[in-house]
Amino acid sequence: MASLYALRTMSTLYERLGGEAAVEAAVVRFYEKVMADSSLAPFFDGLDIDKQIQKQIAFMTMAFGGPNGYSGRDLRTAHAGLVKRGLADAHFDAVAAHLGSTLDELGVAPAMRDEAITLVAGTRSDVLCR
Amino acid sequence: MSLNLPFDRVELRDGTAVSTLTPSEYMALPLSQRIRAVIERRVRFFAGRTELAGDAALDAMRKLHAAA
Repeated sequence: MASLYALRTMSTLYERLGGEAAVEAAVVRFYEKVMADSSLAPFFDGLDIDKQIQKQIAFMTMAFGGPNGYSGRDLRTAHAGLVKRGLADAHFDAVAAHLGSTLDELGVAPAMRDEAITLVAGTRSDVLCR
Repeated sequence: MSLNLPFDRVELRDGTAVSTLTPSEYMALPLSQRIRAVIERRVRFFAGRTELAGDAALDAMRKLHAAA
């Protein structure tokens, strides 16, 4: 029953934030922060923008407790080329910081924000292919 | 459907073509399509003849749905 309660709570949060419209605002805001960061923008050169947006939609929906699952699978394959181009801890930290500030700006409760950041932190070794 | 939003018209540019949409028509577009249009600066939001900043329009849509 605990998981059902948690699911209901998460769904309520997603809806309370504005559902799909919240994800739209979050992805746009997050993307603009990342692209405005001169240390990160070069890594987006040549990426498939549609795939990138789909991944960010899935992740933000998950971060807000929405209905669509984010598998997070195959992070190593997805980031292997970026690691060869110099992707490192500092970049990972910068992306996490942009995510945190995006969630803050959208009024995500600190506990939920921290949960999302913790989830992201857990992907560090896969993203950086260690 | 009439939405209580601070804009009443959305202009969506695709190449040289510009489509004019109502807020409801815009919200009915696939999410990824809306996001890409905003990121690529191909969408503009208007209240009458006054253009609204994109982030303000997105926040208004979010708050409307959050209040629903």
